[in-house]
Amino acid sequence: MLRLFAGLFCLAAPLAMADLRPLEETELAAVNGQDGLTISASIRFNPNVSQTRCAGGCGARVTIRPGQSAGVIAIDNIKGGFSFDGVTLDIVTINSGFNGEGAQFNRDALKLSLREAYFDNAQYTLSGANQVSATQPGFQQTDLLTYHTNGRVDLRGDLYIFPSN
Amino acid sequence: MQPMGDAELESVSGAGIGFFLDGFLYDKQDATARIEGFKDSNGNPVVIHLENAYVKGQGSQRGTLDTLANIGTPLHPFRLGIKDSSQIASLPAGIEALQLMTPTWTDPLNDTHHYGLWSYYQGCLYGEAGCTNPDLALNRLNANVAALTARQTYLMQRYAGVGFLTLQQEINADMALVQARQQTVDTVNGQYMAARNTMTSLHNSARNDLIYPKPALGEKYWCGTVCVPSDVRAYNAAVDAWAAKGEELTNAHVALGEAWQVKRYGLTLGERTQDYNEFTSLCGVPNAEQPACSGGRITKMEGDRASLLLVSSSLKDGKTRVPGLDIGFESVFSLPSTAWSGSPGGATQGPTTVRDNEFFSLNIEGFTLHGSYLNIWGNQDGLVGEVSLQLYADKLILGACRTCTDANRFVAKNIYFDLNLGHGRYQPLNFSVLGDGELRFRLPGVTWANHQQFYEQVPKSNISIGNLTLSNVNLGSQAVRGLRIDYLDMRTINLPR
Repeated sequence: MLRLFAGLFCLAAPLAMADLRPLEETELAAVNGQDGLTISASIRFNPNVSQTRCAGGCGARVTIRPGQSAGVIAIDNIKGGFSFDGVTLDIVTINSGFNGEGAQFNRDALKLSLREAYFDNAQYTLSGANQVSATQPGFQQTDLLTYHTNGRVDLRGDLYIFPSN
Repeated sequence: MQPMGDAELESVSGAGIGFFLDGFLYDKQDATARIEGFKDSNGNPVVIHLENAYVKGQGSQRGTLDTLANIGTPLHPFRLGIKDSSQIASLPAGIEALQLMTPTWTDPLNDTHHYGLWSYYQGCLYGEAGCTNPDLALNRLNANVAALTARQTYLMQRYAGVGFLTLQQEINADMALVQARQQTVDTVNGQYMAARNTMTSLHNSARNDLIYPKPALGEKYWCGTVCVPSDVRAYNAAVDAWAAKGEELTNAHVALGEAWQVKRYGLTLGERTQDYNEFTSLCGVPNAEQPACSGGRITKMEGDRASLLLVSSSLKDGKTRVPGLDIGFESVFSLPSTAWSGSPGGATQGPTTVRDNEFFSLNIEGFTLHGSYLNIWGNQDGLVGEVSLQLYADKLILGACRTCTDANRFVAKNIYFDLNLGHGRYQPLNFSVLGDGELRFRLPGVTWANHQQFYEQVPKSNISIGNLTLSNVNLGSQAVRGLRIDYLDMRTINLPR
């Protein structure tokens, strides 16, 4: 892809009157995704008011069926707003710091940083259910607990992920 | 940008991933949080409001300081990957399992096995006032071993002229009489119960009128042996038979008691048996007339010494532990309270009032999970696995009062949970969701076919607390060592409320 872009620059160069010049291979090689990405994520799950088994309508539902199980584990009634501010995603080389472990490590890692989180009446219910769909007949579910939160929380940290044996 | 060569591509394979969390902090701050889904005995919902919740670095002074936590490091990360039976010995051949491993260190201070054991003997929290001697654990172990060895010496001397193999043979010989008499007790007891049942049913059906008023159970009608009606006669005879069996049973018990009193060299069978069992508990089953300790508590304690030495010498070298986490929350909830009045037998229920703002707090200081793992895979039973949890915490504080000090709380120090559940080949932990949505955990039982390998290889669990105080009452150290679950079938039940 980069070779293709370099080629396009080559074609465009004679036509452009401004002082544009094609980048050499070596120059291109030095260009790297330096700054990573900054993401502000805001996710909102609106309740489906037609589902009356939850007060005010049910939110999203995620189910997991452990192998050979008759029933499923459900994270049910996920609704409200989840916002994460100042999320950055970057590839960094860890080659210093970490009480001397960085220099020994000396490899690249994917770094996911988080600074703050905001919840707008966010909630979910942890349950066990007899079937995936809550709208099919014969539905049976045991709710273990519901967690509900609202407001700004201090949630920060850098998660580093890398290949390992 | 450089294209990757074949050689480079070849070295990239579907390896696992490592990850760690640096500079982590969670504080609920001003957000509201609540946990719902519980009901009280009247069926009303109980909402738990979290007033304060945090996960911070060790030294946060129960969340008041914003100390950052480092969960894992570049060289000691969490690891998630696929492992087979060549890498995990307990896995069945041909099975590949997904393994999640927590940060693992091998130095004595951060290897939870060594440090947890040391902290149990140490008792107090190292570094706190009055707890700066790293050899305290070793001194305590020595004192314990000395006390147990003194008992061992006493028993050795008591039976010096007899020998422990002879002691056992003589106990076995004397036990033959005990067993025979125990059998008699069991037989007579059966007959006694049968006689009592006969008497009870005859008593129920026997008449009760002006001439023959029915006596209490076990007492005879006034006419004794000259009664005319057959039901009355039959009942009176049953009372005699029951009383005779009662006497026979008493005599059998007395005879059994006498069998335990059989003496050799001035010691009763009861005393000799107790001594033999105590010696076995201290030193393992005797394998010679004058046996050396080959197992038991003394050998086990001696085995702990190596770990204690490793930890104390590391501490003396000025080495430190990798800081753990501080975790905690404060919660309030409301519960109904019902007043009762009247006598215990005829108590009447008064009005139920709601007790508002019940308070509960939990704080954990210096929590680590180093060296734990979870292996999961699938087989014909569904999702199966084995888990080893190495939970260590410097301190755990439970409180039910908002404005009080630790003097009014439950405080546990040096807590080590070494929990091992499941073994890939002999006892895989099975997790499933039942057809009605209830959860089920199962550990298959030991079988005759695998009992030998089962007891050799299925790992045991240990729980120890260095020191426990409850409202400033010192309960000392607590430990459960060598716990193994033979069979477990646990499921959730939705209570009908």
